[in-house]
Amino acid sequence: MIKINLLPADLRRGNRLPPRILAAAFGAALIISAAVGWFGLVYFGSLADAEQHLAKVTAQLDSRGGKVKYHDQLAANQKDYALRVQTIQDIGLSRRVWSQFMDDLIDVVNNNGATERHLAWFDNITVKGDTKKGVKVTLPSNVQGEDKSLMANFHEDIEAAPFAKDLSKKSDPTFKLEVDPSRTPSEFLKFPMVLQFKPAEKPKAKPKKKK
Amino acid sequence: MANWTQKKILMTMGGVALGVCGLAAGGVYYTSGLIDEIGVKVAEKAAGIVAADAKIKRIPGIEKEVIILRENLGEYVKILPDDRELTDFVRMLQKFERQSGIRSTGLIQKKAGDKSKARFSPIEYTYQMTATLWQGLKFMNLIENFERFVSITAFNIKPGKSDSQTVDGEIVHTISLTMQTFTYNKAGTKKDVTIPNYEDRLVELREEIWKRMKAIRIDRYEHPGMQGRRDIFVDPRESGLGGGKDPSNAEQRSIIDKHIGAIAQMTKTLKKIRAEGTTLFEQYSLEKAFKTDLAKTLSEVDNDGSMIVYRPYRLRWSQEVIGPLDSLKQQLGNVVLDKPKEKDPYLPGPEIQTLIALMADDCNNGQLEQARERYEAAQDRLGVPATDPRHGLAVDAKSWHHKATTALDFKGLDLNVQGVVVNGTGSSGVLLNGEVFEEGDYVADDLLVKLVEEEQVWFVFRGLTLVRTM
Repeated sequence: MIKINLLPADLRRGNRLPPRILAAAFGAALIISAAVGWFGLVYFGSLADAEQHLAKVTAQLDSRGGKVKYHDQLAANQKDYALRVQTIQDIGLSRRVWSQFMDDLIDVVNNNGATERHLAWFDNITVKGDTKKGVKVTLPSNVQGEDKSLMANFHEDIEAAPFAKDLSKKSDPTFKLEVDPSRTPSEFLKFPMVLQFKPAEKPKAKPKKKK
Repeated sequence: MANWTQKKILMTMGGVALGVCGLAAGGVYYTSGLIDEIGVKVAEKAAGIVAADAKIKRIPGIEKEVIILRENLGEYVKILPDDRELTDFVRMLQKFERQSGIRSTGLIQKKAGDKSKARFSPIEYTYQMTATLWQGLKFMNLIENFERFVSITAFNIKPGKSDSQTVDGEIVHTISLTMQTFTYNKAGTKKDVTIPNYEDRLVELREEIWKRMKAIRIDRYEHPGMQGRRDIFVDPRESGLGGGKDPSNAEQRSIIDKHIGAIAQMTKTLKKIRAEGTTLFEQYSLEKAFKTDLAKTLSEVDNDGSMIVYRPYRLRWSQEVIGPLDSLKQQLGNVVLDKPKEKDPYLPGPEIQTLIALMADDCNNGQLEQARERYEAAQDRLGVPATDPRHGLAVDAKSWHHKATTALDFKGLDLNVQGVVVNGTGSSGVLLNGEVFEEGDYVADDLLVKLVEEEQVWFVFRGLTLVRTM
C-alpha cells in the first residue's frame, strides 16, 4: 500500500522539531540571555557607577585645586622668607659692637683714675674675626713697676669687665720684667693678653622626630 | 540546516550558547578590571581630597606666617644695602671721616660675594687711617651706628711713638679697620603670592609682626667720647728725661687735692645756704662767700689745668675737679634764681591785721589822712594774690583805704549846708549851696541826699554813707 501524505512538509510528523531540540534551544537562549544580561549589568551598572563616582571624586579634587595651588605657593613663600629671615638674624647675631668693647677696655685700664691697683697700657691691638672659633683679640700689655700683684689685679679687672661674659678663653698671667730708663719708674712688666671670644650664637635647630 | 541531524543541531546550539557565555564572562572580567582601576583611581583621588582638605585647613596659619615673615623681611632687608646704596655708603665714610677727624689713607675691597646665587652677598672693605684713639673710636662708633648693617670684622691699632704727630695733645695711631656688609639679592626671590585682604590681615597681625621684628638684634652703642680718660696705647709713666718743665706727680696730685678740698668746702657752704634754719642775713653772707670762693677756684683751675699732664691724673682732674665745679656753677645759678621765690614779697598776715586795726582806729577817730598814709606806705606789699590765705586781710585793708580816701574826698567837697526842713510825714529837704534838695535827690553824679535830720544830713558818696553835721 502506497501512503500518500497530503500535509505540507513542515507539518508532517517526521519533519517537526523534536521537543528535545526545542528544549535545548530554549535552554541555550536562556543561558545566552543570562550571560549577556550579566555582562550588561556589570558593564552598564557597576562600571558606570564606578565611572560616575570617579568623575564625582575628580570634580571634588579639581574644585580644591585652586586652593591647593595657593597653599603650595604660600608654603614655598614661607620657606623662602624663613630662610632669608634666618640668614639676616644670623648676620645680626654675628656682629659685635667693637666701639663698646674698646670703651669698656679703656675703662678697665683707666680704673677711674686710680693708679694704685694697676697702671697699664698696651703695645697694640689686633682683632681677628673667625666665624667658627670666634673673634680673637691680641693685646700685648704692660703694667708699671715690678709688683706682680699689679699685673694680677689687671687680669682680675679684665675678667670682671662687661665683655668678659662673652669670652671663651683668656691668656693666663705670665710676664717678662723690662726696664726703660727714660721713664719713672723704669721697670715694667710686659705680658701677653689674648682674649678669645665665643663664636656667634646660632639658633638651635629643631630636633628631628624619630620615625 | 534542514538536513542537520538533531545531534548536530544540539551541538551547534550548545556551542553558540557556550561561546556567548564565554564572551559575556570575558566581558565581565574585563569590566571588573576596569572597575578595579577606577576604584584605585577613586581611592587616589579621595586621598588627594583628604590631603587637599588638610592643606586648605592649614592655609590661614600659613597665610599668617607668610604675612609676618614678608613684613619682617621687608624691614630686615632695609638694613642691608643694595648696590646703589653701597656707593652711598662709601660717600658716608667720607662724612664719618669729617665728623670724627680721622685721616684715611686707603680703602681696599677685600671680598665680594657671588651676587648671582647667594641671597645675601658679603662685601668687605678695609679702611686704613691715621687717628688718635678717640677719633678712631668715634669713627668706629659712627660706622656701627650707621642705619645700614655694617659689621667690623677685624681691626688693628698700631700706636704712634711718643714723639710722633699729635692732635690736641693725643698721639696719632695707625688704624686698620675691616668692615663687612651684605647686599640683598632679590633675583633669587620666589614670586610673592597675593594674599586676599592683605591690608586687613596686616592690621590684625601688627602686634605679632612687631614682636617678631624685635627678635633680630642689631645692637647699637653711643660712644661717650674721651671723658678725661687716657689713651691706653700710650705709656702713661712719668718721663724721666728732659724733666723739670712739668710739675712732678706729687705736685700734680697736691694741686688736684687742693681743688678737691676747696670744692668740698664750697659744697658744705651751699648746703648751709639751703638749710631751713639759715636766716636771710646768713644766707646773704654765705652766698657772698660762696661766690667769692667759686670765682677764685675757677680762676685757679684755669691756670692749674695745664699743669696736670700726668695722664692717669687727667681723669681724676676731669671727674673730681672739673665736673663738680661745673655742677657748683650750675647750682650757684639756681641759688640766685631761687632767691626771689624764697623771699616773701607780701606783708605777713599779722602785720596786715595790725594795719587794718590801726586804719580802723584812724578812720573812727577822724584821722583819715593818717589811715590813707598807713595803707599807701605798705601798698607795694599788699597785692596778695587770691590764692594766698592773706588775700582776705589785704582786701579788708584796701576797703579801709577806700573809705578813708572817699571820706577825704567828701570832706573836700564844697558843701555848704544852709538849712534843713524836716518833715515828719513826708520827705525832708536841705538847703545846700543855695539850692533845695529833697531826700533821694542827687546833688552830683556820685552824691545823693539820703536822709535829712535836724542835726545832721546823711549823704551817699561813691557808695559810702557819710554824715555831715550842722
